[in-house]
Amino acid sequence: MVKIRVENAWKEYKKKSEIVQALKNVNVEFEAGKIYAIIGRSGSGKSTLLYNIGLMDTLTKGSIYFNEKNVSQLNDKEKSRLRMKEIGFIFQGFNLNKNLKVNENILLPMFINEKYTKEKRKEKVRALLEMLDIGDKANRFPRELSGGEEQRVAIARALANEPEVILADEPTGNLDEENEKIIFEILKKLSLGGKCVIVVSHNPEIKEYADKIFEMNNGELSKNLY
Amino acid sequence: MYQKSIQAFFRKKTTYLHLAIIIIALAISIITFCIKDYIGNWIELQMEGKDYLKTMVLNAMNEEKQKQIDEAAKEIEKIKYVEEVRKKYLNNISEEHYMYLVTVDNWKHIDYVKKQVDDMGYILGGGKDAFEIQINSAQYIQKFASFVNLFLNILTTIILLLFSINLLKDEKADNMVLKAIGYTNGEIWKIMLVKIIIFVIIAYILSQMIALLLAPIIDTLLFNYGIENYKDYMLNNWNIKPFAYVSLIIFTLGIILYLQINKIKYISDRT
Ligand SMILES: Nc1ncnc2c1ncn2[C@@H]1O[C@H](COP(=O)(O)OP(=O)(O)O)[C@@H](O)[C@H]1O
Ligand SMILES: [Mg+2]
Repeated sequence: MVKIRVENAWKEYKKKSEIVQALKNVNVEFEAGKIYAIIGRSGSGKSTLLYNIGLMDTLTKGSIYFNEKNVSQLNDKEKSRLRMKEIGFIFQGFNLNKNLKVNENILLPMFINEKYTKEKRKEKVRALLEMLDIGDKANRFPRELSGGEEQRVAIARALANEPEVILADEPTGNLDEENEKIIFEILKKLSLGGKCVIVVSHNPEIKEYADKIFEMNNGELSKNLY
Repeated sequence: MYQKSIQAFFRKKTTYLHLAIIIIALAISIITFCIKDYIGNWIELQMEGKDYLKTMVLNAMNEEKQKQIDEAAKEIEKIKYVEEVRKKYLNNISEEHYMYLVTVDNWKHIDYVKKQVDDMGYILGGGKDAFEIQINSAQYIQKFASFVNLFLNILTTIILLLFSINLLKDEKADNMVLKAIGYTNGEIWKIMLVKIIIFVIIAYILSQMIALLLAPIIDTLLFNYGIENYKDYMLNNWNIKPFAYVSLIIFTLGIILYLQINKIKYISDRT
């Protein structure tokens, strides 16, 4: 059961002469089996927080703990392996490789995971596609899919290495209402299955699915709103 | 790990467009290099054994000047590349009448020595003058080929650099995803580098083949200027230098990519 703790997190970006404080002393905890929503205005620092939790960037100050282990100081290789095993990312723009077929996109994370043999990889892709109801799309290219289907492929890719944590940055930002509902349902199901799901979203709908909601305001994270 | 990324790279239409451009540029670069190199060898060959070409004559115009050239001869002996300065009597005219024969170590240095002597106010006659007309057009072609070669080398380097920058931009999102799903910066770099190496090697092999296929045509062209056997040279010699040049480019690109790859973070959706 994974537990993530962010402690006194500060992040500043240097833009030419200007310094942007994207995170200001953020303290927060996330647990397994729950779905967390982070809402807030554009530019308030939501993505920055999410990608720092996901070890894609380094905090200016502060620490991130995975199961009480400080992971902020790990090197690139260690962070990468942790991302591979423990974290699945979902993006607003899906970010599928448009020159790879659906099944190839999902295979991509598994190539560096030694726990999979060739057969197991294939099996896993099939199971994920079934689970996400896109079993017939395995050999299509992303351009042949609808937005909702693309995002489900992206979710399959995020789940390929069976991570404990799912980080979604505006996952429904490019989708219509119907698909938005499908995606939120999937994320809810994943949290009920024991994963720790953190969703950044503008969408008010998320309130119906989230166990806890935080608001980002100018780099500061509010206490639990609901 | 590499296979899918390479597959994706070769499914892109732009890859083939870039490949075509690079192949043409590299082919011209290889051909001009070979022409330059071959003509150099050819001139050497023409000069071989013709030692008399290395000897020039310092003559006195009249009786009064006779003493002055003794001084000049001593100076000439000190000039770089001059191997020997020998006095030669012209017996048939008079005992007092002589000239100096100046021999240089290599015909390539004739122009240099002539220039030095000219600066001293004397004129050296003979040497390769007689022969120069024969190799003149060859040297002209060689200079032209060198110029085109240099130009194309610079062009090829710039094009490859632009393609790499373009590739980095084009695959920025894909690389960010690779990072997100757990690839290290080093692994992402290796994937990029392997793609570029395969790309450049394909381009090199194909342009080398074009250079070989065009050899008969160039052979005919050069033959018109009295330069023979270019085709044989192309078929029998594999010039390592264009390959070394290509390897150097890949090496440089590798370093540039490495510095860039370490900057991969994430793409903010609002840019
Ligand atoms: N790579 C970056 N370089 C410089 N400034 C950045 C970078 N990423 C984000 N920022 C700035 O940090 C602030 C927070 O950005 P972000 O986390 O993307 O906000 P949100 O996701 O809430 O819209 C913004 O002011 C943004 O301009
Ligand atoms: Mg954002």
